[in-house]
Amino acid sequence: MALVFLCCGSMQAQNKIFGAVTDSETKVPIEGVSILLKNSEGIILAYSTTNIKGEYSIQTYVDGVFLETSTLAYQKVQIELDKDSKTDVYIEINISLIQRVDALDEVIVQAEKRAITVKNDTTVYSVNKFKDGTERVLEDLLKKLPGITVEENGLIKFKGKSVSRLLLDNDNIFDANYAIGTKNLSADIIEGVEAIEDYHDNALLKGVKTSQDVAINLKLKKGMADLSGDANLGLGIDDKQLAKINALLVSKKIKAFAPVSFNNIGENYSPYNFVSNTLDISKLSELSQRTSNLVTNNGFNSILPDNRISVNNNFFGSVNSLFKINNKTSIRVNYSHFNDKLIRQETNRTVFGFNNETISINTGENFIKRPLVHASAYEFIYKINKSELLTSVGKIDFQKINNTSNGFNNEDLFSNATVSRDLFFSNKLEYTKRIKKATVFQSAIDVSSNDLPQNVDVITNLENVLQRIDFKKNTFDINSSLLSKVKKSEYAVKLGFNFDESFIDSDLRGFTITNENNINNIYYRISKPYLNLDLNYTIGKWNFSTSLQNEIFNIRLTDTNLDEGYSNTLFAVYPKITTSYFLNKVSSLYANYNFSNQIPEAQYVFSGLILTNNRSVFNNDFSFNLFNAQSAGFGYRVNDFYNLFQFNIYTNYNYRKFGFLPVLNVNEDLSFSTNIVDAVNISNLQFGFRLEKYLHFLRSTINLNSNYNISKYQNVINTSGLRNNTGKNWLSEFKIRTGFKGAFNFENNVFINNNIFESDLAATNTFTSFQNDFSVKYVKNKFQFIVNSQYFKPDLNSNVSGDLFLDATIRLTSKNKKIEYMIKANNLLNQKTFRNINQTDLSSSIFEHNLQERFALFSVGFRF
Amino acid sequence: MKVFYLFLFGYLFSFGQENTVIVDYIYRTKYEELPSPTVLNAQLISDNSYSNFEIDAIGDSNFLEEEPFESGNGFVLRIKADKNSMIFKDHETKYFYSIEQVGMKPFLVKDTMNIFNWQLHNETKEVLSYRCQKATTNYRGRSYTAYFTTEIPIKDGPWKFYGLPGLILEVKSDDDVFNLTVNKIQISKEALNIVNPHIDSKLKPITWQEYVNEYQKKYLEYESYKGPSGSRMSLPKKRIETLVED
Repeated sequence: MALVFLCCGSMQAQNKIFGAVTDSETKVPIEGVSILLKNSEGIILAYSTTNIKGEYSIQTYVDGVFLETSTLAYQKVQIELDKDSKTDVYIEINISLIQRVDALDEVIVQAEKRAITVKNDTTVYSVNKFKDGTERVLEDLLKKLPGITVEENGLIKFKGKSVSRLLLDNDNIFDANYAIGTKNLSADIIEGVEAIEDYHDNALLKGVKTSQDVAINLKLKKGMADLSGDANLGLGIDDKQLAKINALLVSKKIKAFAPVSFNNIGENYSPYNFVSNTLDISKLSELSQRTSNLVTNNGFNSILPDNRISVNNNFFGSVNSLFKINNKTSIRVNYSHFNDKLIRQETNRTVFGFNNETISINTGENFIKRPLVHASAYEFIYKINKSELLTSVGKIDFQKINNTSNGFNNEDLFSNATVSRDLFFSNKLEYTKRIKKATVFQSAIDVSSNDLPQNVDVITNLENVLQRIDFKKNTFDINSSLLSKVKKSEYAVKLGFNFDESFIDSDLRGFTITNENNINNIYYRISKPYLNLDLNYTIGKWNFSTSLQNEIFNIRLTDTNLDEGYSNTLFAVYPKITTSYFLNKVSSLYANYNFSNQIPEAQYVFSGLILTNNRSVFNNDFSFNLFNAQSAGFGYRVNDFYNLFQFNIYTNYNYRKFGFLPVLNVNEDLSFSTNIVDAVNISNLQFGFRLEKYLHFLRSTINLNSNYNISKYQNVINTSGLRNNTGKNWLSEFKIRTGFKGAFNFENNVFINNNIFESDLAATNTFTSFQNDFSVKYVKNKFQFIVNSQYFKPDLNSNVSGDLFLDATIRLTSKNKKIEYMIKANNLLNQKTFRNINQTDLSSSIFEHNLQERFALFSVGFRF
Repeated sequence: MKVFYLFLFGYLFSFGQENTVIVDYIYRTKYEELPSPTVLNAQLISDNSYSNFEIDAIGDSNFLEEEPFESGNGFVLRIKADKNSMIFKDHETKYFYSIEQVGMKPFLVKDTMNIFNWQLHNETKEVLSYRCQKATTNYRGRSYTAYFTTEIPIKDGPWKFYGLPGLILEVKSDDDVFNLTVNKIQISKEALNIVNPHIDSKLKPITWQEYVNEYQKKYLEYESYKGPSGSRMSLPKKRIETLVED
């Protein structure tokens, strides 16, 4: 046992026990022994640790009863303190310890709760840090988060990957149509944003297949009422109105968001765009299921942003809801309605110059466009058990576009009335089963139907032309796939059958071109069994992603205009490979090669004439061919967030041997174009770089982007014979933004766009457009003042003058943030028209259109 | 004589090293500015001479059996990491080595273990059947309450925590931002060779003050950065420790 020496020391100012600890056998001092002074209940009052000489010293307390040692290698010793010694001020206690003969007994004790599973693919943003107070809706907020960009059509990207879902507290209420959320949800109700990479709608696929999808999850502020929302009402001169109400319902069983808005100030809070040519993101996954709209599909042509060119009167209302019926079953239901009245006036002076021939066309046209949308969608999710899932997703949407115009073509007056009715239906049933830990089996059936009648009435002083068109498309797809993950490799095998049929019926009256048919009656069917193989693997710093698609096409084409139909069976293989090599943590090299076959769509198949307005008529000279295209790309990328430096240099090349050769016949009254399937040798070569750097001495961030593009293509105009053309486009932008801590901040962006068109049979056309955007923001507490200016010069080399636009916004928020007052004044210099110059290899034109004129709007917003 | 002494000392020391203590903790942070907490598994392996504390940030991507099927139930988050965070304590030199980050960039910090000034309290409670005593401290911007036991004669703790005369089984910051609770204790007779995981690191060790200086420099740069569509960057002033003084 322990040998203890007690010894009384001389009087000192402080009560203290000290001494040394040694090994009982060797008498060697022991370091690192804990000396504990405990009271009668075993509570430690003070402690000390021995130093390299085995010495310790410890302060004493009145109720200290004994000393105890604690160390792993030696047995514990308890020393009861002499009652008398407690009054002593200075005590020496030397301790000698005996080694443990045996180690501590093996012990395992465990808490009842289980350890945690870790998710490793989420980036969390605390939004308050990124806000500067000027954010109105979610879109404004998302733009400020690092790594997130929002494109013109509402598509969100996170680190360059497309965001496929927007979740509200983990619930998918919008599905692909999330622009409803980003354009309407108030930025103030969001507490946090999470970007979830490798996202799967279907939780069973997680960890088996790496997904390129990203979901943005919005964390709503805590303590919100079940029903909350905001409203905004504005009135302005001349006759301007804005009304906007959003309601959000969040309860255990139901989550719903319903925005309603009306405005005539050029804004659009819906995902539906009929002003400019942007792709509707909610239809991206349906492109192969939808047929084409030939007559009312186009937006208005302009380089200006939508809110300047949109002279509108739109109403949008939408309900998006998710019902959780029980733990296993949930149902999502969406309905949206949109209607608008757009007013547009255009004049166009185009000069075609080729073969020493000049054709001048002067047109003017006043449009009224009335789009109408009813869109409904549902999703039914049934979790059969922990490893099985059944979903059914469907939608029915209807879009009617009514477009009337009247105008002149040179000296001739005309009026156009076009209307299209687009009815689309689709339903997909999917079953997923996890067979093993990292193996999943999936099976799906997808059906769709699209009916799209389109009518054109043209009245001129000479004739009355009627065009009736009916496009129909039905698709059916059934497939099964097996996905598996083994270490760092992922495999997927998909076997399926796809059926796709299109009907084209059209009838053109009151118009003829010699030797051309006026009707179409076409049945076009492609059915194919297919087998897709995907492999993704990582070795060291390399990552490879390869895929191989094998398809056996069964094609049947019947065209009553032609003597015989076409039917054939073709086998096609498309390989695809992408590889990247990580040089270090911030930089990588990447390369990709892609061989693809484009199947000609129904709109390139019809042989009879189809007229789309008073001076445009089309047909095709079609023979079936799989248009194979090859593309290759290479690039180097640096994403150094630490040093606030981003750099990317890249090159891409595309080549297509077969394609559609446009043959254009133009005269003063008509443009007649025929697409001929032929060897076209279309190629496109692109180089570019992007650079971003923060400069601390300027407290500013700069961006420098440049892209040079050379494309080679062919066409025929009138009697020209085959023309080989080259288009060269050089686009540069320079942007600088300040990040001062004070109330004032500035931003300036310059864009220069240079275009050159060369043709072996004609003169070279060239033009360079210039744009400068400058804005000043003053943000202090609850007061904001923002001034934007935009200057456009359509061609630096021409004497067409540039246009300057000025906009200003003043905003004042009440102390409790419940009420907000705003004055918005757009187009202060009251530009009434905008003039644009456009050149191609065939023509040069001066194009002028109307604008949303000067207005001032006063609005009040409040939250409930 | 001196040679013999050292030899004997070393021999005795290694003789007593036959126990290794492995303690699993649940590591939870809920920063003020973030909407949801980060909850991770962590493990302390200690033999009283060296110890290593590993925070499992990577997890196991093939943990499908354990993953909650319902999204929204027990949602656990983690900012993407490709390495587990480790804190190595060298009880002989009294230095610990940890990876500290500025944004996403790692720095190897060598800091003294004696950075905690503990006050003992009379309260006790049982944690996993071990009697634990309460102690409190203020450390770099937050105050903490810890429970430690002397029934396991190891002087160590999770994360950087150290300096109590026993094993720390539970630590909570009083603002509930940082929380470490024991989940499993394993005393093994097998001696494990605990080595410094940062020893082969390409990073040059810097002091805590040097790290804080670098952090403050980046803090100012990020504050003024603006992306092309107005995106911002920012570093928090305070993680577990205060890094930028107000």
